[in-house]
Amino acid sequence: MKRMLIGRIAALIPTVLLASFIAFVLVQLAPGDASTILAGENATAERIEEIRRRLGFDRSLIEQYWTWLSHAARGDLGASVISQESIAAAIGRTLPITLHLVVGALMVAVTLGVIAGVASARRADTAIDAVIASFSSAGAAMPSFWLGLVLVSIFALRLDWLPATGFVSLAADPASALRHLVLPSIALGAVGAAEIARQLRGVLIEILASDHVRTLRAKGLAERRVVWVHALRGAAVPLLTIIGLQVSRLLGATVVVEAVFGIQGVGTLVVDAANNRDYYVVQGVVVVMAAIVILINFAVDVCYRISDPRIR
Amino acid sequence: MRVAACDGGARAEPLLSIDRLDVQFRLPGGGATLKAVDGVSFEIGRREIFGLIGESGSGKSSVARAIMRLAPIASGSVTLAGIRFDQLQGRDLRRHRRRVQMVFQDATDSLDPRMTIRQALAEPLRMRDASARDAPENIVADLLHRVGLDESHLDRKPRGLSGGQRQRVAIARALALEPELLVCDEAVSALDVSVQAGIINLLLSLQQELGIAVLFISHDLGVVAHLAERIGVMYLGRLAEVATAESLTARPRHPYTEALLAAEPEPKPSSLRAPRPPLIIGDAPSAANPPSGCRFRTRCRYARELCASEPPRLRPLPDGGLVACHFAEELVLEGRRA
Amino acid sequence: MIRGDGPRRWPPGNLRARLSAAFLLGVAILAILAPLVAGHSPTQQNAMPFSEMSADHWLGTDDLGRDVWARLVYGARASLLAAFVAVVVGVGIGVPIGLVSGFYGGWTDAILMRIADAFLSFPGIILAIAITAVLGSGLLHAMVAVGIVFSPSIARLMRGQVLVTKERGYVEAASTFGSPSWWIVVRHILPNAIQPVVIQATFMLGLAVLAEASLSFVGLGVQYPNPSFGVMLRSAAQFTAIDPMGVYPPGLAIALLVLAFNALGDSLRDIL
Repeated sequence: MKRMLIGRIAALIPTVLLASFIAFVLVQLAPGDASTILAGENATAERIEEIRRRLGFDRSLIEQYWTWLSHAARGDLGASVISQESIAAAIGRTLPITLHLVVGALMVAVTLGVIAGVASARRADTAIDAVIASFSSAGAAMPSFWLGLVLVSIFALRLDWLPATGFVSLAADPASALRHLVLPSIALGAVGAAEIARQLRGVLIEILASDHVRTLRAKGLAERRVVWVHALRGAAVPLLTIIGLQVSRLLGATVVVEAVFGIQGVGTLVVDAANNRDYYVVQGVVVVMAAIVILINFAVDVCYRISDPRIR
Repeated sequence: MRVAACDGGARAEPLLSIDRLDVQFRLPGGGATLKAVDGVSFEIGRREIFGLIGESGSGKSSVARAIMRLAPIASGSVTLAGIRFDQLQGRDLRRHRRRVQMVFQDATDSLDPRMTIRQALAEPLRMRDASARDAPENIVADLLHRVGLDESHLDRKPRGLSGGQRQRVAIARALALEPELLVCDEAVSALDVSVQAGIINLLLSLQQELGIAVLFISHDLGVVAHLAERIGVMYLGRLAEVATAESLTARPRHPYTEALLAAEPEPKPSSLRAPRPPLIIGDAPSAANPPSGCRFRTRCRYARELCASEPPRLRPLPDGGLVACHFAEELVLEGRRA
Repeated sequence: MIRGDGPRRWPPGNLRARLSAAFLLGVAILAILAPLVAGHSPTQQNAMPFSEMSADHWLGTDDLGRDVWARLVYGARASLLAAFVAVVVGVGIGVPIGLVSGFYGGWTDAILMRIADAFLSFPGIILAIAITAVLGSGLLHAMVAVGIVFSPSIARLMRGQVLVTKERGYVEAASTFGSPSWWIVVRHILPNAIQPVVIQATFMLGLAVLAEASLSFVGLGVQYPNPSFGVMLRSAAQFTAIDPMGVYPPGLAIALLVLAFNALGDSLRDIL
């Protein structure tokens, strides 16, 4: 177990290094560097050169990368060229907001996905199965942000049940926070629910046909219990894998959904930075997002290995 | 040590000479290696049909694949008409490859499912003459006729042919490069018996007509003895015996050969004779972990103490054959029944 | 009955394939013939803003009084072309890398696949945004970015197929003729290994339509006034209070397009 963990962490290192290198190089490829922006419009060549030297742009790529990485590892991602705000602080400010959305969306996706997946697996190849399948095909094809727009126009603007835009922190006002989270969570979670339903169906059908389940049924265990306790337990690891993949997708999808709901999360941060060519902010967000995804993949992988010791 | 030519035939220079060939594979997971071929030496003369026989796992296919340079040669040499074939690399290797061609066991797998027969036959021709953008129609047609097919098959895909027809295409394709040696690795094993006979006769007549040498590999002693002039018997990566087909079947010198002969199906099933008890018991040991000494000893009914300690070397016998058995001179082994 | 491949859906396999292919073909024809079928300019004001549906303006007009049907038809043009560019870029980068990685194996393979894994650890849209930021916004850049984001998974898929295909007898047979490696790769491995990539590319066309919409929605894709589905949603989103129906034409267009690509991909997987 301990050895496995160490081995897994060791296997992580090249991915982390490569991912951070990609994020680093990406910005180096951008036309013009920060020095031209910092120096202003009518800067002399000497002035730009001086800034370049101060920022370390005259050194080799690997050297610059190493400096950048060692700073990043200490939480120093530099500062926005435009607002001068520390990038780490900006991410620290916006990431919790985005994570609210991601967690809300996951709850929607898992709840709906598991219910739909179990229902269609139990009634495989019936009308109910087909209806659920049609819904999940449609769910997978809809852009999350469009679903958000539709939800806003119906539930916020026409029915006035929920707020259309904005974000309230859970700590500040839990009731208001939840009301604000409902629509974006549904918008974001729908695609995930469709994916979870589709995959869980396949896994469950296989489990429900297994000898183990047949034995449980023969023992006279209630079908409800067989499905919801025993079969789902067997499906836990594949389910976890699907959820892990969903997190990565959700982190991406929030970017656009935040724009719909006027939420100042990481997505808004990175979109504004991209539109303003504030490359270091973009880089910082990309690195942090990759770090989150890598960590989640790692956690899923470890769970997977613990639950099934045959995989090495 | 180089094994001398053994059947008394005066072959000045053999076409193919294999000397102490070792073929090793690394087993998946871990660094363990499997010695599929262990110190095998034999020669094939020009225009000769040499048979190689053994159970699956005996390493006979690995010998073929090593000759074709498809399997890694750990040590030893493969010499083709004076050229160290095993040492050729890159362009040189590609240039010389045409001299040895192979007919694979599974014709379905050895023909690209997306290519028509015309394309399949044109491919080696293109390698022969890169300047010809399209293979001359008459050469392709001629190849097909040689193997008993005609132009109506040209634009079909392998899917549209029977198993026997596919193998005929594979043979035609192997002949396209006018090789000096044709290696047939279980080339008829996957076919129905009735189809087998057709392919075997085709191979025989082509060999006569073209004057090429053939290395014919099979687990079926009957088929090999029918085709080959000389036969090598392999067991767990080593040669047990090499002799002329006639001598091998009539007077086997290795207990394993005797066992193989005993296991042959009766020529006349209605025979009133009681079936012979099988002379070979159990499954072959794993080549990854072969027995000490003589590899056949665990299944040999004549095995003695010496067999466990001392691996027998392949040595010439007065009658011209080669055998790897300590007691070949004393044992009186039973050949094929008349 | 145990079937891992998904539930029966309506319409059934073959019909689904035909319906989705027909729909996509129809959209493609509309997009190509946009100037003929649009009826109005997609960028000029030709009525009062937020006009109702009428004989002249089939789907009404938008916030600037532009004809929604015209914008939808031109938007289909931009969106389909964009999706195509993204998939061509993704396949163009991914397939050669997968071929090399799978065929040569060893260190080449290990390094290339590590890089692919590293790319896959970025959330796709965010990486696409970052690449677009570097390339500069605009539809072509955004779609090249999406293509780059697609390429690692194509490379991985291709590599896996090559690993299987290169063990096939015909590949071995080809090498015994003295065929050079490039010939074997191009003539035998690629044609026999590409099928799953074609299927994946079909799904990716759908994903690319979504990506175009997302990137244009946040202002990184098509620049005004040229319409695309994403741009239309962007402007409609600002006026949901006045014209709540405005988000439906582009949104449904996207959803149907993606649905059709997904259905076609599913059917291809079943048929091939």
